[in-house]
Amino acid sequence: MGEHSDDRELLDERELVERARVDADAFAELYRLYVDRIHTFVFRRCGDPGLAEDITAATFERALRGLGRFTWRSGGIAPWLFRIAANELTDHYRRNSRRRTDRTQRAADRLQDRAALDDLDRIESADQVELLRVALDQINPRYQRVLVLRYVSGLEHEAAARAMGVTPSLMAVLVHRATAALRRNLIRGEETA
Amino acid sequence: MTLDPDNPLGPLVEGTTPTLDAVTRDRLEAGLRVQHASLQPNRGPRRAAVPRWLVVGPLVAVLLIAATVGLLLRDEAAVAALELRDAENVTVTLSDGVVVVDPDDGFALTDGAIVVVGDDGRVTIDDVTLSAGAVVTVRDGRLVTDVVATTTTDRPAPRDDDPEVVVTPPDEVRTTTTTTVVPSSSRPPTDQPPDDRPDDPGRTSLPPEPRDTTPPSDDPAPEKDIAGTDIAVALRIDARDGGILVAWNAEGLAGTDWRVVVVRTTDGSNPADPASGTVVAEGERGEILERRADLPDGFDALRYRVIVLDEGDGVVARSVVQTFTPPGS
Repeated sequence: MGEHSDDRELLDERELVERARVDADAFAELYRLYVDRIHTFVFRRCGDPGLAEDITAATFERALRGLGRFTWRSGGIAPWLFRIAANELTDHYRRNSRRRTDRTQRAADRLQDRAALDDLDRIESADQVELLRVALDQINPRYQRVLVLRYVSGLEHEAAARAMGVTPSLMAVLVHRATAALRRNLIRGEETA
Repeated sequence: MTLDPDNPLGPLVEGTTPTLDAVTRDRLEAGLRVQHASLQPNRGPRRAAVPRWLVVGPLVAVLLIAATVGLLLRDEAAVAALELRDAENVTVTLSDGVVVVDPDDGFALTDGAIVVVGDDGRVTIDDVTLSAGAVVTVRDGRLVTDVVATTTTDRPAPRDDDPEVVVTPPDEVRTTTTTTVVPSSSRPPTDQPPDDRPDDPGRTSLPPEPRDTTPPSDDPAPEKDIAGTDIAVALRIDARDGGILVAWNAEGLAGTDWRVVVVRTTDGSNPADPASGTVVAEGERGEILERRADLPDGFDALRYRVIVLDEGDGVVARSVVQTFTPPGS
Protein backbone atom coordinates (compact mmCIF):
# COMPACT_ATOMS: atom_id res chain seq x y z
CA MET A 1 0.00 0.00 0.00
CA GLY A 2 2.73 2.40 1.03
CA GLU A 3 4.70 1.59 -2.08
CA HIS A 4 1.71 2.30 -4.31
CA SER A 5 1.14 5.54 -2.46
CA ASP A 6 4.77 6.55 -3.05
CA ASP A 7 4.45 5.70 -6.72
CA ARG A 8 1.31 7.80 -6.96
CA GLU A 9 3.06 10.73 -5.30
CA LEU A 10 5.99 10.44 -7.66
CA LEU A 11 3.66 10.39 -10.64
CA ASP A 12 1.94 13.50 -9.35
CA GLU A 13 5.27 15.15 -8.72
CA ARG A 14 6.48 14.27 -12.19
CA GLU A 15 3.39 15.84 -13.67
CA LEU A 16 3.93 18.88 -11.47
CA VAL A 17 7.55 19.21 -12.62
CA GLU A 18 6.48 19.02 -16.25
CA ARG A 19 3.93 21.75 -15.71
CA ALA A 20 6.38 23.81 -13.69
CA ARG A 21 8.58 24.18 -16.76
CA VAL A 22 5.95 26.40 -18.36
CA ASP A 23 3.55 27.32 -15.59
CA ALA A 24 4.53 29.70 -12.81
CA ASP A 25 1.74 28.42 -10.55
CA ALA A 26 3.06 24.88 -10.83
CA PHE A 27 6.57 26.04 -10.07
CA ALA A 28 5.24 27.93 -7.07
CA GLU A 29 3.57 24.73 -5.89
CA LEU A 30 6.83 22.86 -6.28
CA TYR A 31 8.57 25.61 -4.34
CA ARG A 32 6.04 25.40 -1.53
CA LEU A 33 6.45 21.63 -1.42
CA TYR A 34 10.18 21.80 -0.87
CA VAL A 35 11.08 25.19 0.55
CA ASP A 36 10.88 24.09 4.17
CA ARG A 37 12.96 20.96 3.62
CA ILE A 38 15.61 22.88 1.74
CA HIS A 39 15.67 25.68 4.29
CA THR A 40 15.95 23.24 7.19
CA PHE A 41 18.75 21.40 5.42
CA VAL A 42 20.68 24.59 4.77
CA PHE A 43 20.14 26.00 8.24
CA ARG A 44 21.31 22.82 9.93
CA ARG A 45 24.47 22.95 7.91
CA CYS A 46 25.29 26.64 8.40
CA GLY A 47 23.47 27.60 11.60
CA ASP A 48 22.92 31.15 10.33
CA PRO A 49 19.27 32.18 9.68
CA GLY A 50 20.18 34.96 7.25
CA LEU A 51 22.57 32.83 5.28
CA ALA A 52 20.09 29.95 5.24
CA GLU A 53 17.47 32.27 3.76
CA ASP A 54 19.88 33.52 1.11
CA ILE A 55 21.04 30.06 0.10
CA THR A 56 17.49 28.75 0.02
CA ALA A 57 16.54 31.57 -2.33
CA ALA A 58 19.60 30.97 -4.50
CA THR A 59 18.76 27.26 -4.65
CA PHE A 60 15.29 27.83 -6.04
CA GLU A 61 16.45 30.52 -8.44
CA ARG A 62 19.02 28.11 -9.82
CA ALA A 63 16.47 25.32 -9.94
CA LEU A 64 14.12 27.55 -11.91
CA ARG A 65 16.81 28.35 -14.43
CA GLY A 66 17.90 24.73 -14.71
CA LEU A 67 14.45 23.16 -14.77
CA GLY A 68 14.29 23.18 -18.55
CA ARG A 69 17.23 20.79 -18.63
CA PHE A 70 16.21 18.68 -15.65
CA THR A 71 15.77 15.05 -16.56
CA TRP A 72 13.32 13.09 -14.48
CA ARG A 73 14.80 10.16 -12.60
CA SER A 74 13.38 7.70 -10.13
CA GLY A 75 13.28 9.28 -6.73
CA GLY A 76 11.84 12.51 -7.99
CA ILE A 77 13.15 16.00 -7.96
CA ALA A 78 14.23 16.10 -4.31
CA PRO A 79 17.78 14.76 -4.86
CA TRP A 80 18.31 17.33 -7.60
CA LEU A 81 17.14 20.20 -5.38
CA PHE A 82 19.29 19.05 -2.47
CA ARG A 83 22.27 18.74 -4.79
CA ILE A 84 21.86 22.34 -5.87
CA ALA A 85 21.54 23.45 -2.24
CA ALA A 86 24.63 21.46 -1.26
CA ASN A 87 26.57 23.01 -4.12
CA GLU A 88 25.47 26.47 -3.02
CA LEU A 89 26.67 25.73 0.50
CA THR A 90 30.00 24.43 -0.74
CA ASP A 91 30.46 27.47 -2.93
CA HIS A 92 29.69 29.72 0.00
CA TYR A 93 32.25 28.11 2.27
CA ARG A 94 34.88 28.04 -0.44
CA ARG A 95 34.45 31.74 -1.12
CA ASN A 96 34.61 32.52 2.56
CA SER A 97 37.52 30.32 3.47
CA ARG A 98 39.37 33.18 5.13
CA ARG A 99 36.40 33.98 7.33
CA ARG A 100 36.09 30.30 8.01
CA THR A 101 39.58 30.33 9.51
CA ASP A 102 38.53 33.22 11.72
CA ARG A 103 35.48 31.26 12.77
CA THR A 104 37.66 28.28 13.62
CA GLN A 105 39.81 30.45 15.84
CA ARG A 106 36.82 32.08 17.50
CA ALA A 107 35.27 28.69 18.21
CA ALA A 108 38.51 27.52 19.78
CA ASP A 109 38.81 30.75 21.79
CA ARG A 110 35.31 30.34 23.13
CA LEU A 111 36.03 26.80 24.19
CA GLN A 112 39.18 27.90 26.02
CA ASP A 113 37.32 30.68 27.80
CA ARG A 114 34.60 28.33 28.88
CA ALA A 115 37.10 25.71 30.00
CA ALA A 116 38.81 28.25 32.18
CA LEU A 117 35.59 29.03 33.97
CA ASP A 118 33.85 25.70 34.18
CA ASP A 119 34.50 22.04 33.97
CA LEU A 120 34.77 20.67 30.49
CA ASP A 121 31.73 18.56 31.30
CA ARG A 122 29.62 21.67 31.34
CA ILE A 123 30.44 22.77 27.86
CA GLU A 124 27.16 23.41 26.17
CA SER A 125 26.10 21.22 23.33
CA ALA A 126 25.94 24.39 21.24
CA ASP A 127 29.72 24.51 21.37
CA GLN A 128 29.89 20.93 20.21
CA VAL A 129 27.67 21.76 17.29
CA GLU A 130 29.92 24.70 16.46
CA LEU A 131 33.03 22.51 16.70
CA LEU A 132 31.37 19.98 14.44
CA ARG A 133 30.53 22.67 11.89
CA VAL A 134 34.07 23.97 11.99
CA ALA A 135 35.48 20.48 11.51
CA LEU A 136 33.05 20.00 8.63
CA ASP A 137 34.14 23.29 7.07
CA GLN A 138 37.70 22.04 6.94
CA ILE A 139 37.30 18.78 5.10
CA ASN A 140 37.33 18.35 1.33
CA PRO A 141 34.26 20.08 -0.19
CA ARG A 142 33.18 16.85 -1.82
CA TYR A 143 33.25 15.07 1.51
CA GLN A 144 31.24 17.94 2.99
CA ARG A 145 28.53 17.36 0.40
CA VAL A 146 28.60 13.62 0.98
CA LEU A 147 28.02 13.98 4.69
CA VAL A 148 25.37 16.68 4.61
CA LEU A 149 23.43 14.99 1.84
CA ARG A 150 23.55 11.69 3.68
CA TYR A 151 22.94 12.85 7.24
CA VAL A 152 21.43 16.34 7.19
CA SER A 153 19.14 16.37 4.16
CA GLY A 154 16.90 13.58 5.37
CA LEU A 155 17.38 11.75 2.09
CA GLU A 156 17.71 7.97 2.17
CA HIS A 157 21.03 6.47 1.17
CA GLU A 158 20.07 5.83 -2.45
CA ALA A 159 18.50 9.24 -2.88
CA ALA A 160 21.58 10.86 -1.34
CA ALA A 161 23.73 8.90 -3.78
CA ARG A 162 21.59 10.19 -6.64
CA ALA A 163 22.01 13.69 -5.29
CA MET A 164 25.77 13.19 -5.32
CA GLY A 165 25.65 11.67 -8.78
CA VAL A 166 27.32 8.45 -7.65
CA THR A 167 26.26 4.85 -7.21
CA PRO A 168 25.01 3.74 -3.80
CA SER A 169 28.08 1.56 -3.30
CA LEU A 170 30.47 4.39 -4.08
CA MET A 171 28.40 6.61 -1.82
CA ALA A 172 29.00 4.18 1.04
CA VAL A 173 32.75 4.35 0.43
CA LEU A 174 32.66 8.13 0.28
CA VAL A 175 30.63 8.34 3.49
CA HIS A 176 33.18 6.14 5.24
CA ARG A 177 36.12 8.25 4.06
CA ALA A 178 34.35 11.52 4.79
CA THR A 179 33.49 10.39 8.31
CA ALA A 180 37.11 9.46 8.91
CA ALA A 181 38.25 12.87 7.66
CA LEU A 182 35.71 14.57 9.90
CA ARG A 183 36.89 12.58 12.91
CA ARG A 184 40.52 13.53 12.25
CA ASN A 185 39.59 17.20 12.06
CA LEU A 186 37.58 17.01 15.26
CA ILE A 187 40.50 15.48 17.13
CA ARG A 188 42.81 18.13 15.72
CA GLY A 189 40.37 20.85 16.74
CA GLU A 190 40.08 19.54 20.28
CA GLU A 191 43.86 19.36 20.60
CA THR A 192 44.09 22.99 19.46
CA ALA A 193 41.46 24.02 21.95
CA MET B 1 33.73 14.76 21.40
CA THR B 2 32.96 11.38 19.85
CA LEU B 3 31.19 10.77 16.59
CA ASP B 4 28.28 8.45 16.29
CA PRO B 5 29.34 6.14 13.45
CA ASP B 6 25.71 5.75 12.37
CA ASN B 7 25.12 9.46 12.20
CA PRO B 8 28.25 11.57 12.64
CA LEU B 9 26.35 14.81 12.04
CA GLY B 10 23.62 13.99 14.53
CA PRO B 11 24.24 17.08 16.70
CA LEU B 12 23.50 19.32 13.71
CA VAL B 13 20.10 17.72 13.23
CA GLU B 14 19.07 17.57 16.87
CA GLY B 15 18.67 21.29 17.49
CA THR B 16 15.58 23.29 16.69
CA THR B 17 15.41 24.87 13.27
CA PRO B 18 13.75 28.24 12.72
CA THR B 19 11.22 28.18 9.94
CA LEU B 20 11.01 30.72 7.16
CA ASP B 21 8.51 33.35 8.10
CA ALA B 22 5.49 33.78 5.87
CA VAL B 23 6.58 37.18 4.58
CA THR B 24 9.98 35.90 3.45
CA ARG B 25 8.43 32.80 1.96
CA ASP B 26 5.89 34.81 -0.02
CA ARG B 27 8.52 37.28 -1.15
CA LEU B 28 10.74 34.51 -2.48
CA GLU B 29 7.76 33.01 -4.26
CA ALA B 30 6.86 36.35 -5.82
CA GLY B 31 10.42 36.76 -7.08
CA LEU B 32 10.40 33.27 -8.54
CA ARG B 33 7.11 33.93 -10.31
CA VAL B 34 8.54 37.02 -11.95
CA GLN B 35 11.64 35.15 -13.01
CA HIS B 36 9.52 32.32 -14.33
CA ALA B 37 7.56 34.74 -16.50
CA SER B 38 10.74 36.22 -17.92
CA LEU B 39 12.13 32.78 -18.78
CA GLN B 40 9.10 31.60 -20.69
CA PRO B 41 10.21 32.55 -24.22
CA ASN B 42 13.08 30.09 -23.87
CA ARG B 43 10.99 27.29 -22.46
CA GLY B 44 8.49 24.73 -23.64
CA PRO B 45 8.52 21.13 -24.73
CA ARG B 46 10.47 20.29 -27.84
CA ARG B 47 8.39 19.81 -30.93
CA ALA B 48 8.74 17.00 -33.37
CA ALA B 49 11.20 17.66 -36.16
CA VAL B 50 9.65 19.07 -39.32
CA PRO B 51 11.25 19.51 -42.73
CA ARG B 52 13.43 22.58 -42.74
CA TRP B 53 11.82 24.10 -45.81
CA LEU B 54 8.48 24.08 -44.06
CA VAL B 55 9.96 26.34 -41.42
CA VAL B 56 12.40 28.45 -43.40
CA GLY B 57 10.01 29.46 -46.21
CA PRO B 58 7.25 30.91 -44.06
CA LEU B 59 9.82 32.34 -41.68
CA VAL B 60 11.51 34.31 -44.45
CA ALA B 61 8.14 35.55 -45.64
CA VAL B 62 7.15 36.60 -42.15
CA LEU B 63 10.45 38.35 -41.63
CA LEU B 64 10.07 40.27 -44.89
CA ILE B 65 6.57 41.35 -43.97
CA ALA B 66 7.66 42.31 -40.48
CA ALA B 67 10.57 44.34 -41.82
CA THR B 68 8.26 46.15 -44.24
CA VAL B 69 5.68 46.88 -41.59
CA GLY B 70 8.45 47.94 -39.24
CA LEU B 71 9.76 50.44 -41.75
CA LEU B 72 6.30 51.82 -42.34
CA LEU B 73 5.60 52.26 -38.65
CA ARG B 74 9.05 53.40 -37.73
CA ASP B 75 8.11 57.00 -37.27
CA GLU B 76 5.07 56.18 -35.21
CA ALA B 77 6.54 53.84 -32.64
CA ALA B 78 9.91 52.17 -32.67
CA VAL B 79 8.82 49.43 -30.29
CA ALA B 80 5.31 48.58 -29.16
CA ALA B 81 5.37 49.73 -25.57
CA LEU B 82 4.16 47.50 -22.79
CA GLU B 83 1.06 48.80 -21.11
CA LEU B 84 0.42 48.77 -17.45
CA ARG B 85 -2.94 48.51 -15.68
CA ASP B 86 -4.51 47.90 -12.27
CA ALA B 87 -1.53 49.45 -10.50
CA GLU B 88 -1.74 49.45 -6.72
CA ASN B 89 1.21 50.59 -4.66
CA VAL B 90 3.46 50.56 -7.70
CA THR B 91 6.38 52.82 -8.48
CA VAL B 92 7.72 53.21 -11.97
CA THR B 93 11.11 54.82 -12.52
CA LEU B 94 11.61 55.78 -16.15
CA SER B 95 14.99 55.74 -17.79
CA ASP B 96 15.21 59.53 -17.59
CA GLY B 97 14.80 59.41 -13.81
CA VAL B 98 11.14 60.43 -13.69
CA VAL B 99 9.31 58.54 -10.97
CA VAL B 100 5.59 57.80 -11.34
CA VAL B 101 3.58 56.35 -8.47
CA ASP B 102 0.52 54.21 -9.27
CA PRO B 103 0.28 55.14 -12.94
CA ASP B 104 -3.11 55.12 -14.63
CA ASP B 105 -4.29 52.23 -16.75
CA GLY B 106 -2.71 52.27 -20.17
CA PHE B 107 0.50 53.88 -18.97
CA ALA B 108 3.20 52.94 -21.50
CA LEU B 109 6.40 51.46 -20.16
CA THR B 110 9.32 52.58 -22.24
CA ASP B 111 12.66 50.85 -22.41
CA GLY B 112 14.67 51.07 -19.22
CA ALA B 113 11.65 51.61 -16.99
CA ILE B 114 11.90 49.91 -13.63
CA VAL B 115 8.67 48.73 -12.02
CA VAL B 116 8.64 48.15 -8.28
CA VAL B 117 5.58 46.64 -6.59
CA GLY B 118 5.32 47.65 -2.95
CA ASP B 119 3.68 45.96 0.02
CA ASP B 120 0.22 44.59 -0.74
CA GLY B 121 0.58 46.01 -4.21
CA ARG B 122 0.05 44.48 -7.61
CA VAL B 123 0.07 45.42 -11.24
CA THR B 124 -0.66 43.83 -14.58
CA ILE B 125 1.66 44.41 -17.51
CA ASP B 126 0.26 42.94 -20.68
CA ASP B 127 -0.55 39.40 -19.59
CA VAL B 128 1.78 39.25 -16.62
CA THR B 129 0.49 40.07 -13.16
CA LEU B 130 3.12 41.04 -10.64
CA SER B 131 2.54 40.83 -6.93
CA ALA B 132 4.11 42.49 -3.89
CA GLY B 133 7.87 42.52 -3.87
CA ALA B 134 8.31 42.16 -7.61
CA VAL B 135 10.79 44.33 -9.45
CA VAL B 136 11.15 44.16 -13.20
CA THR B 137 12.86 46.15 -15.91
CA VAL B 138 11.62 46.78 -19.43
CA ARG B 139 14.26 46.00 -21.98
CA ASP B 140 13.73 45.73 -25.73
CA GLY B 141 10.00 45.71 -25.18
CA ARG B 142 10.15 42.78 -22.77
CA LEU B 143 10.02 42.36 -19.03
CA VAL B 144 13.29 41.15 -17.63
CA THR B 145 14.13 40.33 -14.07
CA ASP B 146 17.77 41.05 -13.73
CA VAL B 147 16.53 43.29 -11.00
CA VAL B 148 14.85 41.62 -8.07
CA ALA B 149 13.73 43.22 -4.87
CA THR B 150 15.21 42.05 -1.65
CA THR B 151 14.05 43.04 1.76
CA THR B 152 15.76 42.39 5.01
CA THR B 153 13.79 42.85 8.15
CA ASP B 154 15.70 41.17 10.92
CA ARG B 155 19.02 40.02 9.60
CA PRO B 156 22.05 40.97 11.64
CA ALA B 157 24.53 43.00 9.72
CA PRO B 158 27.63 41.18 8.48
CA ARG B 159 30.78 42.03 10.33
CA ASP B 160 33.55 43.93 8.72
CA ASP B 161 36.22 41.33 9.14
CA ASP B 162 38.86 43.25 7.30
CA PRO B 163 40.29 46.27 9.00
CA GLU B 164 42.67 46.84 6.11
CA VAL B 165 39.88 47.78 3.78
CA VAL B 166 39.18 51.47 3.85
CA VAL B 167 36.07 52.60 2.07
CA THR B 168 35.85 56.29 1.47
CA PRO B 169 32.27 57.42 1.12
CA PRO B 170 31.90 59.81 -1.76
CA ASP B 171 31.09 63.41 -1.05
CA GLU B 172 28.34 63.60 -3.60
CA VAL B 173 25.04 62.03 -2.77
CA ARG B 174 24.27 60.70 -6.21
CA THR B 175 26.15 59.23 -9.14
CA THR B 176 29.50 59.65 -7.56
CA THR B 177 32.47 57.42 -8.08
CA THR B 178 35.25 56.75 -5.64
CA THR B 179 38.77 55.58 -6.17
CA THR B 180 38.94 53.13 -3.31
CA VAL B 181 40.39 49.78 -4.35
CA VAL B 182 40.42 46.67 -2.21
CA PRO B 183 44.02 45.77 -1.41
CA SER B 184 44.96 42.42 -2.86
CA SER B 185 46.09 41.25 0.57
CA SER B 186 42.57 41.58 1.86
CA ARG B 187 41.03 39.25 -0.67
CA PRO B 188 40.01 35.79 0.37
CA PRO B 189 42.60 33.12 -0.36
CA THR B 190 41.84 30.92 -3.33
CA ASP B 191 43.89 27.89 -2.42
CA GLN B 192 40.97 25.56 -1.98
CA PRO B 193 41.32 22.40 -4.04
CA PRO B 194 39.22 22.25 -7.17
CA ASP B 195 36.05 20.39 -6.65
CA ASP B 196 34.54 17.83 -8.97
CA ARG B 197 30.97 18.72 -9.59
CA PRO B 198 28.07 16.43 -10.20
CA ASP B 199 26.22 17.14 -13.38
CA ASP B 200 24.01 19.79 -11.93
CA PRO B 201 22.32 21.23 -14.99
CA GLY B 202 22.09 24.65 -13.46
CA ARG B 203 25.77 24.43 -12.65
CA THR B 204 27.37 23.24 -15.83
CA SER B 205 25.44 24.94 -18.54
CA LEU B 206 24.62 28.34 -17.17
CA PRO B 207 26.73 31.44 -16.96
CA PRO B 208 27.86 32.41 -13.46
CA GLU B 209 24.86 33.19 -11.35
CA PRO B 210 24.68 36.04 -8.93
CA ARG B 211 24.38 34.71 -5.43
CA ASP B 212 23.86 36.14 -2.07
CA THR B 213 26.73 35.42 0.26
CA THR B 214 26.09 36.74 3.71
CA PRO B 215 29.07 35.45 5.67
CA PRO B 216 28.47 33.45 8.78
CA SER B 217 28.98 35.74 11.70
CA ASP B 218 29.70 34.63 15.23
CA ASP B 219 29.57 38.09 16.59
CA PRO B 220 26.98 40.03 14.67
CA ALA B 221 26.49 43.70 15.17
CA PRO B 222 23.58 44.60 17.43
CA GLU B 223 20.30 44.01 15.69
CA LYS B 224 18.38 47.06 14.65
CA ASP B 225 14.67 47.22 15.15
CA ILE B 226 13.64 47.51 11.56
CA ALA B 227 10.70 45.18 11.61
CA GLY B 228 7.91 46.38 9.41
CA THR B 229 10.17 48.10 6.94
CA ASP B 230 9.76 47.29 3.30
CA ILE B 231 12.66 48.26 1.16
CA ALA B 232 12.84 47.36 -2.49
CA VAL B 233 16.22 47.62 -4.13
CA ALA B 234 16.76 47.33 -7.86
CA LEU B 235 19.98 47.19 -9.84
CA ARG B 236 20.72 46.95 -13.54
CA ILE B 237 23.99 46.88 -15.43
CA ASP B 238 24.46 47.26 -19.16
CA ALA B 239 27.61 46.96 -21.20
CA ARG B 240 28.22 50.08 -23.25
CA ASP B 241 30.97 51.04 -25.68
CA GLY B 242 32.59 53.32 -23.18
CA GLY B 243 32.19 51.06 -20.16
CA ILE B 244 29.45 49.72 -17.95
CA LEU B 245 26.25 51.55 -17.21
CA VAL B 246 25.08 50.98 -13.65
CA ALA B 247 21.53 52.04 -12.76
CA TRP B 248 19.87 51.53 -9.41
CA ASN B 249 16.83 52.48 -7.41
CA ALA B 250 15.86 52.00 -3.78
CA GLU B 251 12.30 52.38 -2.54
CA GLY B 252 10.83 52.47 0.92
CA LEU B 253 13.44 54.63 2.62
CA ALA B 254 11.22 57.61 3.29
CA GLY B 255 11.73 59.14 6.71
CA THR B 256 14.95 57.30 7.45
CA ASP B 257 18.58 58.31 7.54
CA TRP B 258 19.67 55.20 5.77
CA ARG B 259 22.35 55.29 3.13
CA VAL B 260 22.32 53.51 -0.22
CA VAL B 261 25.63 52.53 -1.78
CA VAL B 262 26.60 50.62 -4.90
CA VAL B 263 29.49 48.27 -4.21
CA ARG B 264 31.69 46.59 -6.81
CA THR B 265 34.12 43.71 -6.44
CA THR B 266 36.68 42.55 -8.98
CA ASP B 267 37.91 39.32 -7.38
CA GLY B 268 34.87 37.16 -8.11
CA SER B 269 33.41 37.43 -4.63
CA ASN B 270 29.92 38.80 -4.03
CA PRO B 271 29.76 42.20 -2.37
CA ALA B 272 28.31 41.64 1.08
CA ASP B 273 28.94 45.03 2.62
CA PRO B 274 30.83 48.20 1.67
CA ALA B 275 34.08 46.81 3.01
CA SER B 276 33.93 43.78 0.76
CA GLY B 277 34.60 45.82 -2.35
CA THR B 278 34.65 49.32 -3.74
CA VAL B 279 31.81 51.77 -3.28
CA VAL B 280 31.26 53.18 -6.75
CA ALA B 281 28.21 55.32 -6.12
CA GLU B 282 25.85 56.50 -3.45
CA GLY B 283 22.27 57.72 -3.39
CA GLU B 284 18.75 56.37 -3.41
CA ARG B 285 18.70 56.12 -7.17
CA GLY B 286 20.82 57.08 -10.09
CA GLU B 287 22.88 55.97 -13.02
CA ILE B 288 26.62 56.07 -13.59
CA LEU B 289 28.92 55.01 -16.36
CA GLU B 290 31.95 53.14 -15.11
CA ARG B 291 34.43 54.04 -17.80
CA ARG B 292 36.38 51.10 -19.17
CA ALA B 293 39.61 53.06 -18.89
CA ASP B 294 39.05 53.53 -15.16
CA LEU B 295 38.41 49.86 -14.39
CA PRO B 296 41.19 47.81 -12.82
CA ASP B 297 43.23 45.59 -15.11
CA GLY B 298 43.02 41.82 -15.18
CA PHE B 299 39.64 41.21 -13.59
CA ASP B 300 37.65 38.12 -14.48
CA ALA B 301 34.30 39.55 -13.57
CA LEU B 302 32.87 42.65 -12.00
CA ARG B 303 30.13 42.13 -9.46
CA TYR B 304 27.82 44.90 -8.36
CA ARG B 305 25.30 45.12 -5.57
CA VAL B 306 23.20 47.86 -4.05
CA ILE B 307 23.38 47.88 -0.26
CA VAL B 308 21.23 49.89 2.13
CA LEU B 309 22.99 50.87 5.37
CA ASP B 310 21.58 52.23 8.59
CA GLU B 311 23.10 55.01 10.66
CA GLY B 312 25.63 52.61 12.17
CA ASP B 313 26.59 51.25 8.74
CA GLY B 314 24.72 48.02 9.44
CA VAL B 315 23.33 46.31 6.37
CA VAL B 316 19.57 46.78 6.15
CA ALA B 317 18.86 45.45 2.67
CA ARG B 318 20.67 44.36 -0.43
CA SER B 319 19.87 43.82 -4.09
CA VAL B 320 20.81 40.70 -5.98
CA VAL B 321 24.32 40.66 -7.37
CA GLN B 322 24.78 41.66 -11.01
CA THR B 323 27.83 40.30 -12.77
CA PHE B 324 29.64 41.70 -15.77
CA THR B 325 32.01 39.29 -17.47
CA PRO B 326 34.27 40.79 -20.09
CA PRO B 327 34.23 39.13 -23.51
CA GLY B 328 36.74 36.33 -23.85
CA SER B 329 37.05 35.49 -20.17
